[in-house]
Amino acid sequence: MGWQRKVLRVNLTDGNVQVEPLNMEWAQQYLGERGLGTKYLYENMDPTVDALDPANVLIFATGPLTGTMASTSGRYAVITKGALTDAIACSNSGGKFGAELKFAGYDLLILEGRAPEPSYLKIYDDDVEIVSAEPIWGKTVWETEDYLKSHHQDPLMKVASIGVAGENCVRYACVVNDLHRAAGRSGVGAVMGSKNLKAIAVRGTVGVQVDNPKKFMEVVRETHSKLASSADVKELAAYGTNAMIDMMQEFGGLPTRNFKEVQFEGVDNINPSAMTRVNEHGHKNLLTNKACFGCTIACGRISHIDKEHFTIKNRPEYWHASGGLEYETAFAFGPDCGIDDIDALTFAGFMMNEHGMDPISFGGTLAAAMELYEMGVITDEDTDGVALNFGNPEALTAMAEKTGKFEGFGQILGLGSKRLCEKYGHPELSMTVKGQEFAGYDSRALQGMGLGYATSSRGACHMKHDVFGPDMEDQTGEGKAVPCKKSQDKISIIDSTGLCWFTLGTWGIKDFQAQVDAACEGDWTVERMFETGERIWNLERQFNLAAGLTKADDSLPERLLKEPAKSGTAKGKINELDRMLPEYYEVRGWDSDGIPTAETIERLGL
Amino acid sequence: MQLTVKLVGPLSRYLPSGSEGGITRVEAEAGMTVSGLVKKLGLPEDIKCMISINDDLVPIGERQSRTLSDSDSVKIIPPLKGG
Repeated sequence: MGWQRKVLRVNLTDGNVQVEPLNMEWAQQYLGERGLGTKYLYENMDPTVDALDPANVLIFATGPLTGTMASTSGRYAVITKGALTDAIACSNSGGKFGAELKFAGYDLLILEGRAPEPSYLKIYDDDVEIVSAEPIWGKTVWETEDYLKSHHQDPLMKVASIGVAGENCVRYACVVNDLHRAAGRSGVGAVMGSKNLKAIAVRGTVGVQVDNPKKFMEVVRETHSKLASSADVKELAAYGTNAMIDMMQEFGGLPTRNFKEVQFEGVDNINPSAMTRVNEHGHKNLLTNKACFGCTIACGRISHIDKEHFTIKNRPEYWHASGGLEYETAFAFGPDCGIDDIDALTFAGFMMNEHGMDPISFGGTLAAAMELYEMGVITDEDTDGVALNFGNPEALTAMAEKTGKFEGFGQILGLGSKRLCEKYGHPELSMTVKGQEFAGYDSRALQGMGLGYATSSRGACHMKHDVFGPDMEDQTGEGKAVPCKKSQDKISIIDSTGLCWFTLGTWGIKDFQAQVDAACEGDWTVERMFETGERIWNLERQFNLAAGLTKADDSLPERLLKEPAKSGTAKGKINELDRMLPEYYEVRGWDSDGIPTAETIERLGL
Repeated sequence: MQLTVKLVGPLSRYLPSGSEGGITRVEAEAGMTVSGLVKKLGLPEDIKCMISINDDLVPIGERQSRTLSDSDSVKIIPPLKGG
């Protein structure tokens, strides 16, 4: 058990709703969430179809531990072909929606086709209905959630939805659940919009069972206790993920002004200390922290904006508290755009949640546009008269709102950095891999991070590998391939459990394994966990190869390969991808073109 | 000799009271090693962190032997994680 053993399949084109048994052979091979979702995607669609074509398939996948009493069991993933990347997308989210989908009795929700009119999906256990979204089409994520809870008179309903950005297929539109948690990356919200699907509203009452309840409770008590007493966890709750901004600044790996620099002079105005500092109006940005379903950490930030700030001075609708700055948002709107106005960053973050957009990709795209503006390639005529200089907080907030509402130059920013830079004749200024913008770690300072970015199945991403340890120790490409591969396999399986990998550091793989083994049928050893993770990684590779991606897509922008870092611990260094990539292919069991060998495919049972 | 030491982020809790901006000045005897400085600051000897001297990263294996010089600027940075 752990699994509900049921898949809900909805064909939006003809309205057919089916409940089918979960393929338990696949569950034993791919576990759940990311892995099982990838297997179902691979077996249910042609990877060559356009991401916005009705033939693309959109899967919401829970893990066997989602919704259980295990700590951090609120995770679910959205798997599809990404609108931003044209590669496989797997975006993971927390909040409470995933657990509710599991409580409704489903391991996976598979969405096919395109609804003939804007629609939303209502799931009350076995009662599943496709409903007209006419009253909420054109509304924000926040309005949509309010409407659905009110209309169905059910404040406990959990909602995942898209904003106007998703409706208009902004390439990095995301799916937002519980107001400010998101399956954020790769444009999964654009795919949802292309299917005319505004929202999924779910209530569940069937509960979750595990294979060995007594053993599971013992293991969970132990793993919970580790988290509750961990100094790492206490720091994460106190400072949030934005604690990273000070570390990256001092390390010299904080991408600044579209990665032209690696340290930002304004960091003290947007770091965790700034979030708790009282300003001249007596205002403090951070109100409290917040946990996802079943979480012992509570790393989420809840903030509000100074009512005197230019963004909301006459806009009381934004005087409430909402999701505050995470590190990636702070990096992408702050250093990457050269802006150190904490309330402007917070407001732009509100825009991302309200309109459903990925802050990393929006910030990366705006940073590229700012560089093009300062070069004179983009002018005031293009930008609706907004001065798009680095460091201009009004440019950030205006463009966040325009893109969210799909207005003016926001429509161009909605293309993402790769398509925008190509449009203006400077593809080299797009700081992306496979079309996806980088997170806030410069790969001239963090060499293994660069290898992880280049080889990540979903494009530039910091959440699919963990080479921080080796990168802290040595700033060359030597010895990075093995830990990169091993961590990719490890995170692939953790992403398939239904648990959160922010527990890593306090939990090791054995803690995840013990919980999976107690909850699920089958003998889940550590070795099997790693092998399953490797199988998932290789299946994602198979999808991308079938979609037409090649070795050439495992690369980094010229800036990181040719322009040395200007300061910090990596001053004078470039990323040594040419040195790392051949070794990586070898340890992966791939040929020199990055294609899994017949032996690897056979060994993993692909 | 005098050193300038910056304890970054959560490590600032190890700073003497009155320190500002995460920075403290440390009077150290000549020949002090990086490990010796860690001990003098009251940090756990097995603490996971990165240490740089004048923005040059010191590998963990060299902390016992790498000596400090007058006016060195030392940064002690907590381990990086995803975010």
